[in-house]
Amino acid sequence: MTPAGIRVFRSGLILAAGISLGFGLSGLSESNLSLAFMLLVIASFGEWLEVRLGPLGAFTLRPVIAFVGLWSAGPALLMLAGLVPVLLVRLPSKRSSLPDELTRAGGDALGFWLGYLIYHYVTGGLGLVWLPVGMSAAVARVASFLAFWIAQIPLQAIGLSLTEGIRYRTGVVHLIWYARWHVLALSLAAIGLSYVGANFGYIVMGIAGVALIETYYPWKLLGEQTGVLLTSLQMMAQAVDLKDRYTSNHSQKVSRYAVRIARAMGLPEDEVERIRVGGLMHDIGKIGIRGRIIRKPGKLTPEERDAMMQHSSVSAEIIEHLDILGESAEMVRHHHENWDGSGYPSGLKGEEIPLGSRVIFVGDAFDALVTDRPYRKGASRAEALAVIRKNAGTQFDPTVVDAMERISSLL
Amino acid sequence: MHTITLWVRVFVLIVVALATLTTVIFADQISWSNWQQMILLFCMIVMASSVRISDPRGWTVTPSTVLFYLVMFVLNPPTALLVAGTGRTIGYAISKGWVPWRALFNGAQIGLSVAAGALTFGMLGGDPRGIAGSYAYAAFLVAPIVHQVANNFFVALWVSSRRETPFLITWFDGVRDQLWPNLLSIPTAFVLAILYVRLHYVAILMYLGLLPLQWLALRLYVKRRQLYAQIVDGLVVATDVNFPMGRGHARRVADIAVTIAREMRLSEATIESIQFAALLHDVGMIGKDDLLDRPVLTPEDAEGLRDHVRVGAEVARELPRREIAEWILRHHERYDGTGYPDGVAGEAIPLGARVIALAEVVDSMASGNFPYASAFPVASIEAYVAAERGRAFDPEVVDAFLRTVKQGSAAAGGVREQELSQTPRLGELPVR
Repeated sequence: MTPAGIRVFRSGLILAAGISLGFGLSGLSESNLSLAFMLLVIASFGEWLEVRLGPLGAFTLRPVIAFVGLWSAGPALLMLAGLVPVLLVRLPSKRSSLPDELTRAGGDALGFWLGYLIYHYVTGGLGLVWLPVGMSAAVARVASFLAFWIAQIPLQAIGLSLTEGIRYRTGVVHLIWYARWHVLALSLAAIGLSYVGANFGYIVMGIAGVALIETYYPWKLLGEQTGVLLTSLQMMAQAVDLKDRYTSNHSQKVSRYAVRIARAMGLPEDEVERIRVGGLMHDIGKIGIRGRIIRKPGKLTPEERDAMMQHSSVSAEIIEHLDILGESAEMVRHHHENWDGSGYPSGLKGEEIPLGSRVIFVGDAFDALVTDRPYRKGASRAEALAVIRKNAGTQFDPTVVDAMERISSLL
Repeated sequence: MHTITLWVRVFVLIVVALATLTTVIFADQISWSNWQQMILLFCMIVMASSVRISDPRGWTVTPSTVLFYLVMFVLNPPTALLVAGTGRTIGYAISKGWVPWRALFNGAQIGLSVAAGALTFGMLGGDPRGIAGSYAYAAFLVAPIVHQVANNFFVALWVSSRRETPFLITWFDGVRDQLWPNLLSIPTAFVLAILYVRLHYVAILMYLGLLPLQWLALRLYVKRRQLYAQIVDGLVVATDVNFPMGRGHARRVADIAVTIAREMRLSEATIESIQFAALLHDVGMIGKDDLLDRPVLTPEDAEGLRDHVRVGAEVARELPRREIAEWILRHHERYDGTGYPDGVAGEAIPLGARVIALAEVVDSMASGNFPYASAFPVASIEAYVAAERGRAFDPEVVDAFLRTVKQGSAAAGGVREQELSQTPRLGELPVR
């Protein structure tokens, strides 16, 4: 999409957010004021409860509360409970800009309108006469909630392809796959909440909303802990890079290059995540090698070379027993195998080398080439790419090099 | 295995007897006609008590607590005692093995405290039927608190007699540590109680449907957390490998620092941060191995070594707890302002850094690490630390340390066998 196109797209979403918010506010009256207030409070808590989905994407409980608002008191409360918390909770806590959050709210607003239309159509026009009254109401509710959720997916996938370079189709599949159980559970929860509200009063419904948020709290914890885990891996990688002060942040950069290349190749996000970890951990085995060998500018003696060449196996041994890190062990072990079979430790050849290893190897080489050394200046990006291209087919996997060239501007 | 003292036996007998007697005396009030409900609640309590996943942050709702509250809200006190007490006994026995006095004590004390909660609930006019649209919300709030205070009373009597800690403080600490997660259990219990009474008692089975969802997340969370601890552990090993004269130094410093912090009665969250910071305090030494190899340090070399606090802080900056990096940066500051890197003095040095500074010197002296040539006896370490009170070290930290030495626990470290103290020590990493 062109920059102008993106601007138009964003302005449209912001406009949608503004109109929907205005509509919600105009629908406030004395009779629904207290309900609106309570929904807003719970929806704000719900917004705070952000659940991360697998490697990427996230959802909050805010839409659940918003749809309870629709079913209890009509579209005005849907818009209020659905959009106000974005500005109230998300904007201050994420430290993002107002236009960004309004864009986001606009995307949600479109989904809310779609959900409302479907609800309206199914309960009113369509009537679903062949179903008992209670059932047809339940069907209408599930349908409207699902419509909202499905409408979100293309928008989020477009966002991911713009910000993370993930292919649109990969993004869509990923978002559906990781959200499926949550969507099911949350649509049941939403129906339960509206049932409680209709039968036992809105205060009980509010307390039930709090209970729902608490029930979901472990998922938020899990997502946060996964983030902590990644930062602690970065910390570990940084500690290893301390061994050689000229390679500061080497592991982090390799990880970033490798992730970009992997996404350009359209690999599934699970594999991308393993490559991210592998990139961070690929040099961890250097931690036990004496600093004077690592930092030695001249030629290494045969023993020193042996010590250096062991590092990829040692790295793999360190991580292979560590839960999810172990899934990256094989690609770490083979990240110095050459395409023609002349690498180490096993002398694997071509497709025998794990794909992740080939990706990390290219990222590793690229960073090594562009980094300044005490005895030489780093190459420019173009020069580095040329060197890697020259060695494609002997040292590097040509398809990986192709992918890298496609996204060279992103590196 | 500890031997069980006579006093503990008597205490267990008294509690179990009390619970049994109360049940027998008020047996005519037990609402046997609701036997289906009783069996349902009993089975749910057994299930919830026998599956245990501990959340180290103590922030999530525990299913068995929710069910105890539910029982208080919907059953009369004697019935509640019977259902919760027996359910807990069986559930406890299933999850921890059948040690009669343990399981019976646990069941009895839960039964008694649930009965106390149910009694309070009734006296305050609590009623989940919500007659005339009013629920007497205060009852739903106060009854769980009464239950918890009673529960902690029994547990504190037990714990304090076994660990020889003062009873009142143990009781108070228990109430403080569990109050928040228990308050969080109330909304769920409230909603379940209303469904139970106004819809149908079978509706609470829905709760069983929610549990696997929660448990799955919690299990994964605990695994991630362990992995995180292993990574920190790996870093500690890596620091050791690169700093051979100080092998084990980081762990001992962490143990000493945690002991001092406990003596100062800092919060569990702070203690955990202190532990992490102490484990990682010398991580900046990685890559400085060749400096330590030299027989004589030039001024530049010494400067390079001192730089380890900055480098270490830089590495730890990645951690979500910002204070850890700050403490690592400051762990060579002196209380009188003559330390490095910036010569900050007194209270301007963060507390965690002051604790770690003392712990590090104590361990280096005790084990004869760099920069000391040989190990010192405990008495001379004590004398040195006391002499540096207000000079190198914070007086309060010094006092706390000297008290731990008197109690003979400074070297042992981690004296309180608490669930919360999770020393990241889960298997060493193979590092060559």
